[in-house]
Amino acid sequence: MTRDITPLSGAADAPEATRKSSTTNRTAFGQFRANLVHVLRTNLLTGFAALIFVMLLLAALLGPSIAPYDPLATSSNTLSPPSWSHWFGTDHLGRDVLSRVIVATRVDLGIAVSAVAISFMIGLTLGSAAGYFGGWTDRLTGRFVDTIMAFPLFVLAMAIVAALGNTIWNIVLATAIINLPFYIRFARAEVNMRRDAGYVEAARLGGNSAPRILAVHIVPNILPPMMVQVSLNLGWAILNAAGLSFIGLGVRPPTPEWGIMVSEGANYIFSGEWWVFFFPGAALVLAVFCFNLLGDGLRDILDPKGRT
Amino acid sequence: MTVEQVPALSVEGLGKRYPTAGGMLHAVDDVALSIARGRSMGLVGESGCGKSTLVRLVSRLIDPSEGSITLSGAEIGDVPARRFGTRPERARIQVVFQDPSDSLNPQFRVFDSIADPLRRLGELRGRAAIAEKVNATAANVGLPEELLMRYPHQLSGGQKARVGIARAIVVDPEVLILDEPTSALDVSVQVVILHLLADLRQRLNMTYLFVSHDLNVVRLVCDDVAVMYLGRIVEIASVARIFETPSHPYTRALLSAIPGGPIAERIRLQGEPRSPIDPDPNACRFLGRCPKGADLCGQKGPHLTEVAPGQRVACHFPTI
Amino acid sequence: MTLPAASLPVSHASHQNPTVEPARAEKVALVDVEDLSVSFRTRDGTVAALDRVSFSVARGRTLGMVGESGSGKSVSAYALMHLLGDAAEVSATKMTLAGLDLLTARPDAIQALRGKTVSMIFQNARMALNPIRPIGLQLMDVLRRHRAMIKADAREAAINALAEVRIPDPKRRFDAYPFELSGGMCQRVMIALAFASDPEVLIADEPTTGLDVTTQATIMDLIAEKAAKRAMSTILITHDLALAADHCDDFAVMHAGHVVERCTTATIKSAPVHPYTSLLVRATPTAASSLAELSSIPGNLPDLRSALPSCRFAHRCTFRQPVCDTPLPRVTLSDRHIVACHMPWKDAP
Repeated sequence: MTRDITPLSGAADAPEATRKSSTTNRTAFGQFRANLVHVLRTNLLTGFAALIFVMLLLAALLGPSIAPYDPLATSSNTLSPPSWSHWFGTDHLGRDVLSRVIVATRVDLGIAVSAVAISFMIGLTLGSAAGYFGGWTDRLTGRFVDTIMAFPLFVLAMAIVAALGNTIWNIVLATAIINLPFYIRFARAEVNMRRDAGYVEAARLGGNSAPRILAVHIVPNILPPMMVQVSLNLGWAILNAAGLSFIGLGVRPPTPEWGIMVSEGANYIFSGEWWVFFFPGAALVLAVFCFNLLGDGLRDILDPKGRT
Repeated sequence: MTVEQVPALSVEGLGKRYPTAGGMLHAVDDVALSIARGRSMGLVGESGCGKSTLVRLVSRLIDPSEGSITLSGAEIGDVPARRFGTRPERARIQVVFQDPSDSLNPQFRVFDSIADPLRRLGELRGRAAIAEKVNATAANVGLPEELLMRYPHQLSGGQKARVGIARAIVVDPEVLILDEPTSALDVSVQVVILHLLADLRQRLNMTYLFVSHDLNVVRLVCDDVAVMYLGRIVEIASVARIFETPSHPYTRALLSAIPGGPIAERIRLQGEPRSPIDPDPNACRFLGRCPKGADLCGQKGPHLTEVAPGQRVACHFPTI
Repeated sequence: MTLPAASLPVSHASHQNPTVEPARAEKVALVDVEDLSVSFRTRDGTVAALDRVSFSVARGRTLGMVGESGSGKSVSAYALMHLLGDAAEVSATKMTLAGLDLLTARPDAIQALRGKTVSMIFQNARMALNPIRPIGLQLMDVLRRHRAMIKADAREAAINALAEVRIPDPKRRFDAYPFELSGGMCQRVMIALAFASDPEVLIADEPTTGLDVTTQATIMDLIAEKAAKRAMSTILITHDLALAADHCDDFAVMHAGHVVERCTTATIKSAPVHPYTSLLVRATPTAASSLAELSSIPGNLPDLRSALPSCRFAHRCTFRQPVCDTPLPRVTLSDRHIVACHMPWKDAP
């Protein structure tokens, strides 16, 4: 029998070749799109969340253009209930609640996205280094994280904003700082798990330097799970920003922001003008809900092998 | 000494110790072996014998505690592992790993997995030159070109194994260390890969260090065999000799345990293995489990001595 | 044209059970499966995992189920133990286990059988044990479930069980957790657990894969000893043909959900009939005296989701003839030799 050294496309190789036949010729993007379609089709909630996300995005981007009224314009038509001219009613200063809710999307989303982005990038860098190099890098990073975690995080955010001043930038900074431990720990754990993987050793054998191994070989593998966390974290960051504003340590009036609006509307709960706090509150709930669901859906889309 | 006589890979007095809570763990102890160019040496031993550590030492992924490692006469053991990646010798000794699923980066396409060492270590520049070399290497290992754009999870076990081999040989190494390259594969795929490896060795004039727990595979693929136990080499001989006249009691026990192997009567090893932590330098590591065993074995540690032409054994009472 | 005889080296003491008289053994088939078919409903279609699989094991004998991964060996065992789950559609003309007719039995009767009369051991032993409970206590749990005993007695019985599987220093190891033990020791604990109920049938699914060869030998010895002592029937599922040849009395060779050949060990060593069987033998390193003699099996396993021809091996077979497209027969060559093949070479001029 002649030796079969260069068999035809995978012939004499194992069975799994046939199982993959329906997915073999796709590009990475094609695979992504296929997974996306599948997830959206089988999981209605994720589809719903995606829809809400698009709405929020549009509201954030186009806010002032699509708001029916000037969000800052006061009028004498105060505290009027939802009607055809004012879908969400008006607040105590006669401002249209709907317009304010729409424009506030930009503020809240903007703060959350900026804070999470900063936190994510710094956390990823520090955590990866700690997880890969160990030793003093790990110990110092650990102490840093422990210091932050020693405080109740929201109180820490309050303290930072109170000390530095009520500006949007400070809110972003405070939110970013209190989210750091989360990303550092996550990145550290994920990198640590992969530090001794075969492909990392192969990368070392291939002449890659340590920073290159981290950046090019390991981090791309931890991004999918981190993306999921980012999405979940966005919801939390929105609540954080709104919470700070609610207690007066955040965005200052008259800037429309969901937290402030709830805070102002809280005065009118018992007198019956429910629409003043309800709609901004509902917007908050919807946004957080949307990001949480998206996180789950993202995980399914980005890492289909993990799906059971 | 002519150039041909310089061994492709040679190791002398190699040792690696790790500090642990209970003392120093001797993972590899006073190991010496030498592989001539173009030859294939098998390294067998059971879990905990130190063969993985030896592989990492020789391939310079970790640093030895003592000893020398020479590649075609050039010492490579003195360069720290973390700086070895930039040395020209890095491309001359490469490794094929056991588990193809773990050794390929899930986020890299096959092409990039193979091209990466070439980009880092090779002298080729430019996308065209690199692509050409990668395609040629893929053809060499029987990997069809259309698979190059796939991701590892889209490949079968055998195809992944080929990618691992391609990645290791793309930089034209002189010495290839194969760490259980077929253990994770189906028996039929194993045959194909073994044939491929034998063919490549001949065509590309490489030297192999073939680590395996499966003595039968070693018998078919290697010229010589070294048997390891608890960090030391206990027997080293040609494959033919070891299978005909195994000398060390541990080698004999191993061979007797193989289903359908050359030793019919099972040699049962009683007792627990000795601890690799702070071992007694004056006692044989196999004492306690060895079916033979006398006072001498506890007083004087045996060293590798030649008991027959080309067969060396570390035992006071070898079977001849 | 005759098939070249495959050759596995005639080995030493294979562990046939010499104490059970052949006549008595043949009368009592502890495991009897006929025309077992299993299909799974999956997202990608229906997978016809098993197609009319038949095998049987007499009391005290060991059956080796061999084949490549994906051939359906484990699925057969799981079907037998009713462990397949809701996505599986199982049908058979006969399926008896230790006297119980599995096709008509009530679920609680089958449940009572599992773990008591029929035990199963798996591949990755450490994973199969409870990681947060000492092994001694896990043994005691099983012992007390099958026999009424007070704690002190159960503890002693557990220590004895550990000693029986040759775990050194059983009194101390009683309190050990699985992560403290090596793979071989974990497997011995699993065997002790499996034997605790004194089963009549043992199903071993790749029990030694991943273990060192000396540990493998010890594990197989333990199983063989028990089988001899208690006339226990064993089904050994493995991809290692040499291992099976050393420890089994009979073979069921599987390919893509079919049993292609059932024969004794002697037959598989000297004169297997089905082309796949001889190819398997020739791919086994033990049997080859040189690398050139080692040959691989051409082609791939068929896709079990698609419509399959009657013979699932035909597309890989060098002896294929037009007759191979007709429905696959089951040919009884002798009392213990059944082949699912047209054997087209027989009529060749």
